[in-house]
Amino acid sequence: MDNIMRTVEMYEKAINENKLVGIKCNDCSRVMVPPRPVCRNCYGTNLSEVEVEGKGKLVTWTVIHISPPTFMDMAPYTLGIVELTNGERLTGIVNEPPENLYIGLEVEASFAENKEGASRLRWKKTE
Amino acid sequence: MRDVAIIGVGMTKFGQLGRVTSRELIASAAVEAMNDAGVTPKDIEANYVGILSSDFFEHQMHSAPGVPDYLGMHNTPSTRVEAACASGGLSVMHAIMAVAGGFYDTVLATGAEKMTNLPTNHVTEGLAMCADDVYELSLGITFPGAFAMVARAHEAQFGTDAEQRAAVAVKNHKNATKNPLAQYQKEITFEKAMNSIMIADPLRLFDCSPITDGAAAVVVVPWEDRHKYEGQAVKVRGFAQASETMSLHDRTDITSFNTTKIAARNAFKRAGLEPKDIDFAEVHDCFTIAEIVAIEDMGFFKKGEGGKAALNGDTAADGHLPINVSGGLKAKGHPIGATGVAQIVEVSKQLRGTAGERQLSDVEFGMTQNLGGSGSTIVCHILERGD
Repeated sequence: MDNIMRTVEMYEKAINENKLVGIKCNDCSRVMVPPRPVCRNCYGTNLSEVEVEGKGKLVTWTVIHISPPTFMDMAPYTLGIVELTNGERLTGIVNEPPENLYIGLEVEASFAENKEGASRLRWKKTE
Repeated sequence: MRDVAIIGVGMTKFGQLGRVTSRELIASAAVEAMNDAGVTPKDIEANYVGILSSDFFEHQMHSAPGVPDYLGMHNTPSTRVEAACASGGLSVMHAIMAVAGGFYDTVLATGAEKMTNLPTNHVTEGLAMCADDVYELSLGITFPGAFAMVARAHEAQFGTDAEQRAAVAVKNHKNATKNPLAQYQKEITFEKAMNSIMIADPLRLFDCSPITDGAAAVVVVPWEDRHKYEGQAVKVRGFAQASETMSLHDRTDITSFNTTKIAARNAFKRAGLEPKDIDFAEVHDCFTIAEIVAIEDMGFFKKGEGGKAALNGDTAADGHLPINVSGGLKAKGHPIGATGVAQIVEVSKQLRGTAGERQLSDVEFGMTQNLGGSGSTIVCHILERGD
């Protein structure tokens, strides 16, 4: 063990296994997604990995037409911010036609094949 | 702590400037600022240089020493300040703090960006690197995309629609017709703005600031020494910076930038002033929605009233609170590192009464708000007309 807090690697490893994880502060019980090295609530550093439910509601979204070069083959694509059931928020690509989207739409996490790490996160309408 | 004066200002033409490096642009703006102040490079004790990424745009790291190098200075310390699109404002703030703290008496604060060497998609990526690389950029976020998400949330909560956003663009383009250094000096119509191509829904081309080359510079000295210089002094009354999460999604409210609220509040506190005391402001309209959110968060308009203010003419050059009379980032142009410095240049010119055709009448206090990332850095300044 070294003394480095590898919260990004923690998140990437989990998402590669089709799971979403956050980090729980053992002092104040705050759960943070994505995980981070210091508690946003109490500055605690006694933290543990926790799996979180990949369900939530759409907070806002956009359809990106002018993209970075590496995303040009996907454009236009929809990107949204989702509030998870625990109140934490994540950005992800929304795999749902834009005309079906509205603020508050219930969505769940899914994971793109052929990709690694945080870039795998997709949101789809909850069945 | 000492009071501080802006004693010299300079700014290059903003636009597509061809084969020129950011250090040459800075040298051009800095020579103008030093001539205005009545100083030479020999008098400058320290330089601050606001540049987002000469690394990405010009294949040039270590850009700070390039400034004293091209100004013929010998061994004068130079520090690069990078805070995304707030790099320029932060460059000025560090110069002010260095003088206020008594470390130096004559400091040059500059900013520049040379952006038009690269095609649009590459510039989009370069700017997107100011977002969180792991949790946002890996998923294809762009800055138009981030502000589009703010715009949609703001519209859902307050009804800030496409027409209100277009009103910001129409106003700022109109203002820029009176700014000979602006990138665009052409009025646009609501029809043109609202039918331009979609960049990131709901933001269209005319909701976005352009890709621009340019530089700006100011000379900063102690207020008590102002009469030793040739330049007409403007007094620095307040300044503050606030920083926030890299990712937009980590904010509980995305219709506001907490950083703007906090930086503005702290700048007002330092100045001993309130929003109602401010006569005009230059705010960071990288996107039309950004101006709307800024003037609400700074306390000039109630939440949800920012878009209506543009539509009603309240923020027009002849309105009760002129916003971005320079043309703003939208029409003056947005050479990233130069922007925050250029805001100080514009406010100083207005307070000196040297803003030419766009001169506002009877202005005493002007304010700036410079934003980096998706509001992850905000820098505010309040300036007062000199004696």
